[in-house]
Amino acid sequence: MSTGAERLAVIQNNYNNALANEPHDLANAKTAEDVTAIQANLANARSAYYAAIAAQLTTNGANVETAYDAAIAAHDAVTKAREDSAALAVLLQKLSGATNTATHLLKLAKSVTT
Amino acid sequence: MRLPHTAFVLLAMILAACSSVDKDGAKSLGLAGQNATQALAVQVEEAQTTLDVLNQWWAVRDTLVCSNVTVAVARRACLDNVASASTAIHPPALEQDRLRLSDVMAKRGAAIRELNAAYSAFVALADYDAGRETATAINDAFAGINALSAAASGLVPGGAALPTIASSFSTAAAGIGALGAEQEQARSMLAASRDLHTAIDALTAALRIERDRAASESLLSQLQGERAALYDSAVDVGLIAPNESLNAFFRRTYPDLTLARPPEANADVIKAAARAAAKAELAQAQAAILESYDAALATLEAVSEEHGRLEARQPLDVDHILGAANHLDSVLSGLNKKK
Repeated sequence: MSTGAERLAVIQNNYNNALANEPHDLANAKTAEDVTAIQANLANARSAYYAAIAAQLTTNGANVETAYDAAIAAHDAVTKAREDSAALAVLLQKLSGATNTATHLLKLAKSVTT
Repeated sequence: MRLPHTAFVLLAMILAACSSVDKDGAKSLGLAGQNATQALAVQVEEAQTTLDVLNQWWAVRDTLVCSNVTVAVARRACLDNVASASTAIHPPALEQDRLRLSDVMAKRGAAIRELNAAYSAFVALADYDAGRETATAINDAFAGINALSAAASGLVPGGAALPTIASSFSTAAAGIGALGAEQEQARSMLAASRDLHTAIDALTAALRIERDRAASESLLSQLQGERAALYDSAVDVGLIAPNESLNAFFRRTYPDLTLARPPEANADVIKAAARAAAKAELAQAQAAILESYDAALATLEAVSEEHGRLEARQPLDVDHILGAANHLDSVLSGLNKKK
């Protein structure tokens, strides 16, 4: 059973990883599409984090255990992709998965509280 | 039946004893309440100030990192995306949430400031020498305490407003002697203490609940991270010389040191060291901010307990209040040195 702090930490880590790695990911980008995908990933992660904080500070808590577990798994996949120096396309796919999971987590939180 | 004069005096003395309060203790209590609310107010206001400019920070940081893109077409796309209104790059919900958070912090800051002003008034009330001064001093103090009532609902969503303190002192004080004034002062302080006690409990309850505390601490820490990300992007692009941050880093250990200009061949090493220094400073600042948040809450809880003693007419545990307040002071002093 995760706590609210742990759930927030997962979403925050997702954002901070995107923030810290964006310069490196951009350096590997070869096309406009790559760049847009990397920037969109950061934007989604940023939006998910600030939405989660706003939801926590303005509404009641939420039961998001299932999505939380999925978010942990997605983060592990992204970390492994970077460690393995995966091709950009694979990395982008993993990044998108992590951010989509964080966004899903957020939607669940909102659906319970609104 | 007509009581003899000595019986009146005795009765008055008993009444005075029953209604007396520990004024010195109350003053310490008020000062601790002032310090803790001041510390929280500063944190909340700084968070709001950062939230208000965060979209500018993001725009600048997200543009500067485009310098990492080496392919010309992709680099152009990077800059265009940041400048565009594309919802993929600028999710509309992000701006709405930023504004919501700024609004939450503004309301919270206003309520905490009122509470801070009320504690100043409470200290003035405890300082007031009922035997020598005028009723005006107490009424001025009440003006501050009553201002809290209107703002109290901002402490917690749906929180109840406090009743204003209906001071009977102004009408009663005109013709009474020193003994009567002492009693009125004690009664007034107890009424003020009860209202402050309610307000401080509402504030600590709101800030202590797990989700609020986790979110507040996460946000305070993240805003420091945003500042660091902006700084890093400026160092990476060459706007800020890495030597700048290393200068500050070395001067803390060797105050009289002047760093030499490093050879160009070492630029990558200097940049890596500057990043390491900035990362360590960020971690320290984040830890200090969380520590001061917790210390402020611990002080408020100590203050709340002592309000209970005051209202029960028990002597206040001044060491208890001072212990919490001194810890908060030392944490804040450490935090200010890191800024």
